[in-house]
Amino acid sequence: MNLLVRFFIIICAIVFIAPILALAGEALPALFASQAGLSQDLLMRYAGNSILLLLGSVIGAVFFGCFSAYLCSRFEFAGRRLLLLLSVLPLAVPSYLVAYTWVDFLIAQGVHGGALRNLPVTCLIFSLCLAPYVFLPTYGALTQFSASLSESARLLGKGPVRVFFLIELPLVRAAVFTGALLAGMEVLADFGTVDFMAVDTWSTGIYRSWFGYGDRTRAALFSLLLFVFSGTLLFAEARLREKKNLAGRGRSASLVRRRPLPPALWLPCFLLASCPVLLGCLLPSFILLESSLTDATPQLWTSTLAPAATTLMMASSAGIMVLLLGVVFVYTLRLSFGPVWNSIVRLASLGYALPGGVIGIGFLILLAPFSMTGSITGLLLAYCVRFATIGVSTIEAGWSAIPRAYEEQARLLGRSQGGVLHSVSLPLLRKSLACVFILTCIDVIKELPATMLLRPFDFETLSIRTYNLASDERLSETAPSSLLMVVLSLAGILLASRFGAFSLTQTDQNGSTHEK
Amino acid sequence: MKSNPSALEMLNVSFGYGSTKSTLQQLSLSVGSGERVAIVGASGIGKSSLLRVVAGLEKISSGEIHIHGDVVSSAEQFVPPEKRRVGMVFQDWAVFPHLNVFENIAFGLARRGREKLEQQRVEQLLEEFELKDLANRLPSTLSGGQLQRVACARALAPKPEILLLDEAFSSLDVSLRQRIRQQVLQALKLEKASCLLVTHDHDEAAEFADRVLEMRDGRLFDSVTRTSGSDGA
Repeated sequence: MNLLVRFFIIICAIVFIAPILALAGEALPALFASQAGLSQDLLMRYAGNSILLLLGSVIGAVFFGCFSAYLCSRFEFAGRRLLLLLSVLPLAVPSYLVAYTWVDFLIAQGVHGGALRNLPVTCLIFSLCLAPYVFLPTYGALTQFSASLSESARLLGKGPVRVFFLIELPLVRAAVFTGALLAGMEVLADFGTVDFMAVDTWSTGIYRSWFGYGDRTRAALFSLLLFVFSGTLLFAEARLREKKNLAGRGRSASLVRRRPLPPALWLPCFLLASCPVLLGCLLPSFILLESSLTDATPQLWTSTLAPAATTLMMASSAGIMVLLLGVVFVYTLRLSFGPVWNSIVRLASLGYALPGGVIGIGFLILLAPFSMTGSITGLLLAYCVRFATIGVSTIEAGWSAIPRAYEEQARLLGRSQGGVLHSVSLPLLRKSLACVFILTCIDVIKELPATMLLRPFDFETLSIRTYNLASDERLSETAPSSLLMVVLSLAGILLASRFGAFSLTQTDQNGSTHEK
Repeated sequence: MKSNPSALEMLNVSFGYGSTKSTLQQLSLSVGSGERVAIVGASGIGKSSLLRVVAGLEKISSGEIHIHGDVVSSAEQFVPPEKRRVGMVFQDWAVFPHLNVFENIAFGLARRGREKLEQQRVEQLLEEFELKDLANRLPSTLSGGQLQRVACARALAPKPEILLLDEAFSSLDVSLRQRIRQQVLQALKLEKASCLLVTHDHDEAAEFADRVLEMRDGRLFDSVTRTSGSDGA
């Protein structure tokens, strides 16, 4: 069995690394020979926009995420539990749907389209949609924070504001940065929003080079640039994660107790903290629902059914594949074949650093000689590369919580390695496995750039249908497909929350058990 | 203000968490200047809560707390913890993990324009608590005993009028506990600070304090009285 696992890992590593090698093989020779056909101005514009968008969106997401996290972890107020429960919902709605919905709604209210489609508004949309990426780790760190650290600082003469800046902020900084970097990677990977909002970034550059100019070298070069930038962010995130437990509790430490929020501050604080949920999820969903019920014709609904079925099929297939990959990868780490094998597994599960567009172009170049571009197999492979990280990180976290003694006991009782996996490990991991399947499904439902580049001819998912209608400025017709995407993703997020994917409830319970 | 006030005076203090039964009930206590008082009692009886209300980390529901004659907690008045000149060593020591040993000890001293005095004070405490060689080390690289000494030195650095010790020695092994206790006693004598120690260990209480009180049902009762005076140990 071990031989089979090793063989599988090698095949996966080759499949996962091949798109990057293909990109490098296409772009680097042209770059060194100065034949990339790129003007300095064009490069600067795309790079400048990408970096500005990244900074603006991340700063906004950090502001909303940190404010909500601090409010919910340090104060008691009416609606706090509701805010916590709803805080993950923006993850269910892709940012391009939020952009389509708000722009369509505001234009209908008389706002000029030109005032909406620009860089600052795009930053705001990303800030709202990506705030949960910052909120979740920051809230976790703040609720696990030892109360005696802040109290010591108070007793040493520092007021509440100085305690926040001198003690609390430095200790949760790593968690905030981790969230900010993940949000940044989502911004770089996005294509639908920036394309619709007319902001030229590396992502739009990739797509235009491939489909607009048929220039695969230029597309490969943009992809490589994007990969290097995302890879740097991922590397920084991994380094920060090592320091993340700085704020961890000492021995027998008590947790910070929430104090009542002054009544005068309730309304402004609650409104500000609920901005991401309201503007990034609930209101757009409501607008879509209203528009679907009043404007959408029965024909429009009927024509949405086929893409919905295709989406569900692709999402569940990818979910199962990522689940299997995750089990095999983590099982390999668990068996400790050695540092080389561990490195291969880690390398093969770094797909989150690869934006969908990068994977798409990589596979297109790679599969072109085999006439396999535009195939369901290629698309599923791309999904696996992109989302393998979800499988590995979730299953690894779940597996590390299972004492090794269980497995060792089963071995002593006569089970083979495979038998232990089947009868002990997998049953104990069922919640993690369910989370992997659901979270992968949600990401596949929302995924746009890789699907656009790699889909077979006449193959439509909900995201593709919505994008195509929005590109033709038929925004009002996007409502049924958008609404279906939101409903499916929301159901998935709620289900994953039930399985403990976001562990907000646990940390919240800890936060309220302070009394000595 | 009294003419010769106690370092700490608690008068009929009651306190409870939320709607639960009062943890402290009409509790009164007086600690003289330079005196060391130990409070013993079973776990969960409210010993730590007593220290927390003295420190100003909790608000009392009735009664009064005076420090050197000034009211710091009452129905009308509440002085925040940072203004009470009270030092505290927590059960988990709470050594700031992002600051090195020197910075931890200097944390309560930071005053603009007094950097030289601050440096001297930190160096004196590093010497007293045998931490000189560890000044640049981060807490994550220190042992339990070393962390304990950093926490004590930090609490004493701003020269508090009262030092509160919350089971501060309980997790150390016997010989180390004795050594650190001696260092703290030495430092307290030097600083002429009063001290309130909370512990579940009767022997430790008897060895460390001039007076030992037992806590039962939210009140204090005399347990053992030592004769060695406030210079003690």
